[in-house]
Amino acid sequence: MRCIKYLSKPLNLALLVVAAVCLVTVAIGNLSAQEELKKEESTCINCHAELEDELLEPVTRFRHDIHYEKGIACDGCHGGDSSAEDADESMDPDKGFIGVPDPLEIPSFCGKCHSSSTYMGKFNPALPVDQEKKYRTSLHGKRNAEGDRKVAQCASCHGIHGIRPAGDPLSKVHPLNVPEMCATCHSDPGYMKSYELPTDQYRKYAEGVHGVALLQNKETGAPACNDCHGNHGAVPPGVASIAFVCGNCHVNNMRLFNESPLKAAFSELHLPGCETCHNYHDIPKPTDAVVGVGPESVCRDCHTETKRPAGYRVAKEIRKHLDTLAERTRSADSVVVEASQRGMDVLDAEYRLKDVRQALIEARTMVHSFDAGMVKDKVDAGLEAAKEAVRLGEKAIANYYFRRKWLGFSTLILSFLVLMLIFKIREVDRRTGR
Amino acid sequence: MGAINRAIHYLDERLQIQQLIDFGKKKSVPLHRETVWYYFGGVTLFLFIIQVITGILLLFYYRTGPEEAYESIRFIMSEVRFGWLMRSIHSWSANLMILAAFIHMFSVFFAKAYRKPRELTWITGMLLLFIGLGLGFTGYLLPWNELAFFATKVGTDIFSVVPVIGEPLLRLLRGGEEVTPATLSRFFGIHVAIFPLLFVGLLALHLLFVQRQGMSEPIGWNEMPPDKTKSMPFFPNFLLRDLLLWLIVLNVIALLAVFFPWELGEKADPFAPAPEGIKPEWYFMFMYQTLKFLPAKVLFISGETLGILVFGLAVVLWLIIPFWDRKSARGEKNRALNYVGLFVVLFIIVMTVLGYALH
Amino acid sequence: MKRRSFINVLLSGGIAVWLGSVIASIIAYLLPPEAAVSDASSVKAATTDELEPDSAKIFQFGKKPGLLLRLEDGGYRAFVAVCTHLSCTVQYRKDMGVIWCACHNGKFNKKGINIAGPPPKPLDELEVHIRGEDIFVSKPVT
Repeated sequence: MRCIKYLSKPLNLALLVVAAVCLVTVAIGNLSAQEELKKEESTCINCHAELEDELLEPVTRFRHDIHYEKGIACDGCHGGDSSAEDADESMDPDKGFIGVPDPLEIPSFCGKCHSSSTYMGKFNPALPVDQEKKYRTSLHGKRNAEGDRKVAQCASCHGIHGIRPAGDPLSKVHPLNVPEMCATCHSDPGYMKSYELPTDQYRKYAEGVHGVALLQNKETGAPACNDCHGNHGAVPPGVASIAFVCGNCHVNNMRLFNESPLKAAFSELHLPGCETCHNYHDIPKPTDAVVGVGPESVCRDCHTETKRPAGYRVAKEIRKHLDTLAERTRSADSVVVEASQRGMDVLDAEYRLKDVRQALIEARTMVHSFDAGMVKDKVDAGLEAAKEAVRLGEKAIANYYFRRKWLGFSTLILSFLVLMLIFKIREVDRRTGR
Repeated sequence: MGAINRAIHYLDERLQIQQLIDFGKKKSVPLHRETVWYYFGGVTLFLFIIQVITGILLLFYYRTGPEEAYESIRFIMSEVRFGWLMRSIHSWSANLMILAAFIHMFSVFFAKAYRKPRELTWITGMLLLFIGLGLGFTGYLLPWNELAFFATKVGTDIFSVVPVIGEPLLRLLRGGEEVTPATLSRFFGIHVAIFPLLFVGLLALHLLFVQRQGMSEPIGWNEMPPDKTKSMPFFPNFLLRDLLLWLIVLNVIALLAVFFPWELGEKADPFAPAPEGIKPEWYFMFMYQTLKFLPAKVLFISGETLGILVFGLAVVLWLIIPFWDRKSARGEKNRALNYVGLFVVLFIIVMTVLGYALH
Repeated sequence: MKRRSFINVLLSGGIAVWLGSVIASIIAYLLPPEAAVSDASSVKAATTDELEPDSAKIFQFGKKPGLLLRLEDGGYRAFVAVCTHLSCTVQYRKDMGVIWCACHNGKFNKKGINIAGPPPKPLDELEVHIRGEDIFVSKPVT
């Protein structure tokens, strides 16, 4: 049954087909090597390859498993003796054969090797060996220890038999696949019912700026679930630590916020640092409209003309500065674009525009200081650069018109000469009797 | 006007220029339905003069090299006063010169003006056309922009299908296996030294021949009654008309240079994939398109090789027309040849149009 | 005055004006323009007495800004000063000892390799040549 359910997902089916094609290719291209492997793997793989469905699956999938690639045979995890000729002998519990491990045992099952630095050092000394320890500190790990078979353990995320390293794009834990992987459980209302957890995180995340960057634009630098929640030690970040989590990437914003007067005010009200304005999971791409006192403003949530009016005024002023520079950036852009559309060389103007855009980016970051003066400093630098860009752009446009005037002048002279020549020709023709 | 007469007198005393003026006055231009075609030689000459002047001026700022070439032309177009004009005129006038030369060549062909005694004039004229095309081909690469880089790659590739000498010829032309900065240096040398030198030498011969032989007359001109064979003195009547046309051409070029400035494009990046729409210059389009239409294999040789061989043969036959067109040489009408010429013109036009339509 | 000489005067006058303007244009063309000869392959970035050890300056390198860095041992390195994240201009921060991008706190070490923050790639390195007292920076030969 599980096998059919597995195959009913188109992606899995596709993966399986790809895997099968690869297998055949490898098999054809590498017959002698295959022969040798068969000898080594004989009992487990040979027998299971003859079986069907659930009992065949480990063989097909294991071929792409990192453990298989590193030369670890079935008995490396399942115990027993894979070199024994007889099936009963190879699956002899006396020889340590485990068979299918219980979900509650899986962490220690994997941890046998993965928590041992001496053992892991033989394969990949850089790989951490604290996964099991961290897992035990996570909510998943704690519930698992309490006997909950539903919560995620190693195999839930990393898969069974077809385990690939996280850097492999086909791995379930590759950054691009992590959100969907977590969503298999966390977006399933039935599954989550007993935990009283929301199931809209994936939908919200996918709509947010990080989800769009990762899932749509495939920017692997954008955070997946684990980048904020941790991997093996997954926990929801607390109110106190959220600014640190975001600040790992948004360093300037965190520093400015921490130095700003809002830091103390937020702590007093027990408001989390970043998500109060930016939400979590469905974090919108911030626009200038978020700042200020307009309808989309988040400042108005706390500041109005009567309630905490100082902040209201600062928000209004910051927005005014941002709007000024954004508007000036657009107009400088359009001057330069116009010049370039007229076929003029605008390299120097474009060089200046770069500074303008940079000032705008910096001014927007500076909003997190909640200090109108600091924003203004950045904006002023941008306005200065914009002025220069406009000057150069207008110079190019003026040059364009100069060329037309020049053409007019030259056409005038040439037309006059043409006219005179026509008179001259007529005069000469008459004189020479033609 | 006394000053001019005195100057002429001064020069005449020392250099006998009155002889030249008399020669010019004696030389006459036959007047008939096809007289208008006589102007195209002069227009080609005028455009060549523009090329020399603007070319020399561009040399003051142009620097060769994979980085410098593009940047120096950008510099000419954006920083140097009237630099945009010089470059645009040079590019536009080059194309118009090739066009004028083609028209001149075909008008001479259909008038059979190559017939005895003008065989050598035709040969020098054809060689001038070839060098003109070579100047266009080499000059196209000099800005070292993307389109030119790839067009040159494709264009020089054609030489490789020439049997036996193809490969060494390609290496000689490119200065290596590939189009590299070495190719740019070569093309620069060819464009500013070798071809102009050859061109000027051949042009001098061509003009000398024309002056010695006078304007060619249509077939059967001498058999016509004297009252039907009108003519016009070359100096000053025809020359003034020449000047008039030159001024108009100059104004057209200025117009083109201002309204359709020649683009510089993107700097060539040898490692970038070839951009879409790689086309040769329009005057090579018909050959390029024909080669594309040919099947990969014709009998035992490749279609391209066959195409090149046929083109080569056709060009040689065309070049030596005066020596095998006995009929025109005897002063008889050669209708069959007119149809051949018409076919060639139509072929070139259709293939060129197809070349642009299919891209 | 006869009609013939009238036309001659106008014609020669017109030709003189025309020739004059052509020659004037050519002279204007030949006079070196204000901007120095642009040269993307090699730009004079600084003079040898300009930079203290452990400091840097920004210069224009064609379309892009360049960063000339003087190392503590007196040597020079140069990079295209465009952050590989969102194309902001990077600067050298003496206090941190890194090349730093003000926009999102991206950091590159003194070899231009991205070491912290969002930049996904190292900075493009440029070649430094010292000729006499001038420091020239050029694109590396590929």
